[in-house]
Amino acid sequence: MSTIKLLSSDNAELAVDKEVAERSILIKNMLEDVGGDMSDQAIPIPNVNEAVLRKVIEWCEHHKSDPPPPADEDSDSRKKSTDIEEWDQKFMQVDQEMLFEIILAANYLDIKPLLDVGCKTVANMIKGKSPEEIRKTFNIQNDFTPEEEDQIRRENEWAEE
Amino acid sequence: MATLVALPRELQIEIFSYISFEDQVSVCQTCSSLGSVLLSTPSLAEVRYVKIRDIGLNLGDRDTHISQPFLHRMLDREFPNYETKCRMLVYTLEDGAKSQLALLQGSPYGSPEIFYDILNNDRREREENGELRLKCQHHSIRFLDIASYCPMLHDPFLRSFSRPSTDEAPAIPTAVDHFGSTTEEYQRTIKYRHFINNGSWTLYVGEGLLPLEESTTIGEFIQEVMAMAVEKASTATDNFSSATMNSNTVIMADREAGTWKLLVTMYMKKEEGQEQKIRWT
Repeated sequence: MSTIKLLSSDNAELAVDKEVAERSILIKNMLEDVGGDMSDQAIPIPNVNEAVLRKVIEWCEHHKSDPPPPADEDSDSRKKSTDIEEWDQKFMQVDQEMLFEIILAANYLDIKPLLDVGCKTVANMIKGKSPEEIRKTFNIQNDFTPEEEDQIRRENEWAEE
Repeated sequence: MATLVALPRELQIEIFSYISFEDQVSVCQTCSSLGSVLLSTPSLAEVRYVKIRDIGLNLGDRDTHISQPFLHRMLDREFPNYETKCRMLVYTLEDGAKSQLALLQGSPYGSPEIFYDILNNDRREREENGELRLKCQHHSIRFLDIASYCPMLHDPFLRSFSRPSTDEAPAIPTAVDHFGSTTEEYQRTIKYRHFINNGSWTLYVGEGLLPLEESTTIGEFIQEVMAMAVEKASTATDNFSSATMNSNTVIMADREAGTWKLLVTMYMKKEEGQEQKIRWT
């Protein structure tokens, strides 16, 4: 099995099986463009650092035998499931910065199934939470106008009566 | 640093494509940028609407010619009335004070002895010793915690989507086809009834018609209904003497061919030394 090298944004060179790397449509297309021979040269992945790239490769290795996702996947958002298989759930048990970096990397590298797992993980973190809980979970700054904030304050005062 | 708010818009949309209507309501109240993503993305709007004919509203022969066939889910809270088989449409009036709405007391669907626990989605009945005991779970009771600044209140009440229908509905006609050609007929109206609950019984106060155009937003609709409710309440102050402690508005869609009849039941919050008032700003 042939091996290729990937060069992360922080200049770390990682060797990876070609079959594994080709889970990324971006890399697959690049390899096709150069005739499949990149044995001497590392493929630069400028948007992804070493830590994130290693996680992405770990995911690709685990899923290297998965069938490709159907091209015409149902895009009806109402029918989307947030179920995540057990291995992927554990894989996504990372800090939030890494989670979002994985999502960004999956998007950049065009790995749709990994992007889906990342987005579902975030969606599950939102599920059933109040606005305030969501703000706390994702460190979101409440940027509503002072008038709106004042209204929230008044409402809270009332709730505490 | 990568955060939810800092993600590219297309990735935020991808994430939000997995969340429910209720979670959309919460997200759009966290900050304006996420609210903007939710409300300005047509594909995400579909989750917020339900096909009118799917929720049991009987519009008679107009049902097959409605030009805006989807109703906002904020007015379809999946609370079935087992007698009429219609659904209860609920809006929590108290603007984010969800904790104060723990008990929906003496509703038309119960009595002072039967309590709907909004937070835990169950029904409790008062025992002889005065204690409330859990009687049954009402999984379908799901109240929303909506502040009046919630951007989703700018959503239109009715909407149509261009995605192909799964049933054999005819081509969507124009508004004139649907409502008729005269000015009066052109406006859909909501017939509402106003009741005041005094803790042991419900007083019927009156009813009116609320003009509803296709551009009417959820917020406009609720404010209009509340304005009418306040007006009716001001003429019936004698009936507030033993109003319930909790305050909320329940709007129920009734089955009546050709019209949308909404039942507005008002619960007043009683405050020491103050007149009863409706908390809506």
